Amino acid sequence: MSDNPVSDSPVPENPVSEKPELSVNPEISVNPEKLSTNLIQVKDVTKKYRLGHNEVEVLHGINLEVRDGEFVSIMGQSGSGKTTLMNVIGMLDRPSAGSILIKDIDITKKSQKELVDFRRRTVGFVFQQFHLIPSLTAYENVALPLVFAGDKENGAVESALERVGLAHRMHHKPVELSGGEQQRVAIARAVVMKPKILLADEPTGALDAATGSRIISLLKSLAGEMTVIMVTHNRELAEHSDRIVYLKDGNVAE
Amino acid sequence: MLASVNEKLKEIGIMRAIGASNAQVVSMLFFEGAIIGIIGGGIGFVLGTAASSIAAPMMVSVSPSPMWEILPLVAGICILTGMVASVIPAKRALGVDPAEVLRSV
Repeated sequence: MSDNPVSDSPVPENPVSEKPELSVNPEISVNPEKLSTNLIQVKDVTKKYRLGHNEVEVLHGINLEVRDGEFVSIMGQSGSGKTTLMNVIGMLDRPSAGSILIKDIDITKKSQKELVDFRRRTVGFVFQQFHLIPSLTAYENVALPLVFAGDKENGAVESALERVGLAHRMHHKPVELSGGEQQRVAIARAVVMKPKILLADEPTGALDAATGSRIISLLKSLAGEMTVIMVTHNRELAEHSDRIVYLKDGNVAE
Repeated sequence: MLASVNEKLKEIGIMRAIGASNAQVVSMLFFEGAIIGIIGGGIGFVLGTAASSIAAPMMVSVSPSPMWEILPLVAGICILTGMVASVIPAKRALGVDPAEVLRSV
């Protein structure tokens, strides 16, 4: 899907004014006090899918801990289970076995109704293909999580769009926005509820290199106030995170 | 039609990923069905009235006029029909696995 990158060259403004440096940064740019606890604990998680008559095990007893405010990249080859792991952490998919603790609470034991609330308030998702609703404006797309949660907007939508540098484009529909702008709207939608966890699945996969770097800078600026987990194929971009976790054939090879 | 169904399933997958409950998804589909029903009913009313005013005088020597008093009932039937037509898509929407839908698009 990423073979045809969307050029973002016509975008004149840049919410992250300086171009990010594509080098390893050993410094963790978050408050160390925020890193004192494990926000996410993935314990012996297995995920199996049924493919016709066969059962395929995608994750084989994964163990992973992520601290509060940390920016973690998950890397691995296609089919290594990266997206499945991210979906399981966000409870878009239930694990076949094992547990996922968020702030020491096992979310795999929660009811469907409780999981809806978990997805509303605790996690935000960013997808490779943006997944904005085409008939809605940028403002309406960002407002959706608030509408579903029954929360009042109280300026949260404008604030989220300002955060990604798109307040002036709030009345535009996705088709009127460049690829990079659409992804920034998707990030605004993901953070409008101020979630504890931001899950980004190949957020730069459909963008050109320069636009992708700007998106990574934006994600990096969000880490600290929330935990960011990003799935990527791109090692250069992954090196902007605090830690890289490698998946190989459904196992962590950190 | 298939593209439209897939697009709708994708939207439902996205909405569920960002926090829509099953009840909210079903409400949206019923609301859409009701809107389509009332629009279809309105178009049918206009076309039917026009057709009967042209065709009826040719066949019988009367000039038909719309029965305005039954309009609310007809509107209600149109809304209900639209909502009933949404039952199958709504049932299908509840079976949507957001992760699977988002993986496939």
